[in-house]
Amino acid sequence: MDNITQSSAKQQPMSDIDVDDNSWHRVSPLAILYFIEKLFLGLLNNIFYMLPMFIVLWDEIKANPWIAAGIIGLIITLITIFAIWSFFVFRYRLSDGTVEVKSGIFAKKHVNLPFNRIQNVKIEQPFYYRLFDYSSMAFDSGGSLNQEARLIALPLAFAKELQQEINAFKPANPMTDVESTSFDEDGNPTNSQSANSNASVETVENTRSIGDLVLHGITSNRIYIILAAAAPFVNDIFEFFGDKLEGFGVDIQSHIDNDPMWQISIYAISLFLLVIGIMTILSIIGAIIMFYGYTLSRTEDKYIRRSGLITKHEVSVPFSRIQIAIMKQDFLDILFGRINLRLDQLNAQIANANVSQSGTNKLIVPSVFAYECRDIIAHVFPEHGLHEVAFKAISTRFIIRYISFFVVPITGILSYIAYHNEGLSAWVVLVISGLLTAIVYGRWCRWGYQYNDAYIYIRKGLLGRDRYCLPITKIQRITYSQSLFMRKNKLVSLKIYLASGSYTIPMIDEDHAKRVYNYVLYKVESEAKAWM
Amino acid sequence: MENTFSNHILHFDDSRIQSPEATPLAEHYAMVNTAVSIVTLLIIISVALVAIFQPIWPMPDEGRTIAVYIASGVTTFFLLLIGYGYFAEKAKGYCVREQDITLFKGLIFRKVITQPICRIQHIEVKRGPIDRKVNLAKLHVYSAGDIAQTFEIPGLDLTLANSIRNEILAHKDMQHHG
Repeated sequence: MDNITQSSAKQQPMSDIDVDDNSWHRVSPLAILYFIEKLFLGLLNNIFYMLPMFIVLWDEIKANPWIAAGIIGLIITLITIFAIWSFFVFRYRLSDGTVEVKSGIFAKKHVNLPFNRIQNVKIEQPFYYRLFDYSSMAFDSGGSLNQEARLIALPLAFAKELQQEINAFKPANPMTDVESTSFDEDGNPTNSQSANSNASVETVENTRSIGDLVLHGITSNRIYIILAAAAPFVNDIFEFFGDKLEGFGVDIQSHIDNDPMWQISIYAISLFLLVIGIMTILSIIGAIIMFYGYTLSRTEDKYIRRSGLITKHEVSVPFSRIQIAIMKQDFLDILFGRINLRLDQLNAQIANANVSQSGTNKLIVPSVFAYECRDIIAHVFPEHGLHEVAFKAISTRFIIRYISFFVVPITGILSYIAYHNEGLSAWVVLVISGLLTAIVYGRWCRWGYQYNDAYIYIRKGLLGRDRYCLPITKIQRITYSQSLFMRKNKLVSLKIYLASGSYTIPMIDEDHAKRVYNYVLYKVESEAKAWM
Repeated sequence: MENTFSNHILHFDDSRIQSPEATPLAEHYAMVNTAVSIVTLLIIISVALVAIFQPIWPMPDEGRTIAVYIASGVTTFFLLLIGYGYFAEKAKGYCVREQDITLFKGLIFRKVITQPICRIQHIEVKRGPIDRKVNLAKLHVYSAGDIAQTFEIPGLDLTLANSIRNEILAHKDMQHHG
């Protein structure tokens, strides 16, 4: 194994970081591991579609295990051959402030990405790279160009240097210059542009301890990380536990038939608690896998998030690319006084299109306190008031609307069924309608909005509470809509489009809506500030 | 900062628009659209009728009656829909101002969608075969806030669509960001 490290070091010595170096480089053979992983995951994702085939052929496979083993061996060999082949055709070149990557066996791909088009540089360290201090780099160029480049199996130190090089690359493009200076009420620059020299100085803004992550696991459902990894094996897992239960002599049917009611309910409750407990533990494990060793660092114009237990992720996001700040709180978060902070960039759909692990490339700060949240947002959106804003309620017509279009019809259908069917008692109908009404009312209580000359704030939720801070100068488009009823009652819904998605403020006073609508357009159009 | 911002309505013909009200789409657009829908419906109905009454594999009489009922029910439904569509298309309108472009639409849910020109990423004039026959065009406007819905003004006269496009392309903020 040592040879590998040495030979790769020969291929790309540290001193080689010369942006004008015009030759094509090959990466370390460790890249083969990356390609194997990628091909294997691709295969695993497609296995779902091949399941019917396996089921049909199951008897055949059982009858001839050697042929099956041979096929599996062949697949593994093919994967290895393709991985090695991919490695041989993978070349990259750094020249004139661009990174170029050639890859692909059958479909050749040549990506040419100028440094100034690169939005994000993300350094990843899967566990097989961490052993040798290697890493892979993903360059994200933003939605409209729709191309992504990835450099794999680079020595970590080299990757970091290259990252700095790219970050230090100040484009001649005026559009990117304005960004870090935006968002002052008077249009005055808030931080001086000249301080380029200390642009790469990092300060650690926030770290998350294991305790925080445990709390995060409890309050937020991070179980899907484990579920996603286990998805191909879910059937086997259930079968396994089913067999085990039988093995222990647990026969559910006989218990239900024989035991008294109170005993069965205790079983049910304990089973429920057990499931909740297991889910919580899994969620905690998920949170730790995802956020272990979390640090959020800040340079003059960007945030860098590093975390991950098995694969280390590093995401750096320039402040200017951040479109919106979202403070998310579940019911339990409110109880514990914690907030999950999200700083969203371009639309998640674009961002996730080429990255399989969604969530890992988002700028999210798990389970922070309100004051930390406030400070983190303040670097991006100066003088935001998200933590202390007094929200205005939306119209009470909201309740009437949802009760008449949602609760009343459902109650009607249920009552009809209850009337004609012995099985459904009137009490159930009453409870369901009451619950739905409470939900509508609860939603209304949470809805809120506010605006000042720089930001629009939205609050919504039911048990939980999400608060949004939308910088007005980044708004892409605005929709003003009114139904016949709303027109009669002088109400308007606004829908605001940012590059990160669209956000609605339902049923607010017409005059307010007009003011917001006109002000947004005035602000966006008169200042014409860059949105990324 | 000196305030030189203005956002007046732009006129593309010797137009009558003086208020920020919607300019209706081309006169014949709703008619053409409705005609296309009716022709499509007629084709589908005739295919259905032929299928029901063809003598090669005759249907049992009972099935035939049910099929006729279903066909007439579906036809009525779509006729109502087409009727609604006619008025909905009639209700559409647009407004181009110096700094933004607005689409008005909706009969029951009235919507006013405004796209600032400085946020436009690119712009297309699109024409299908029917649009070409009747000299109409659609103006597609793309911005970054777009994934789910594109901003589209249908039923514009071709020359009008082109001049709006050119005007938008000539906008100073478009040239900056282009």
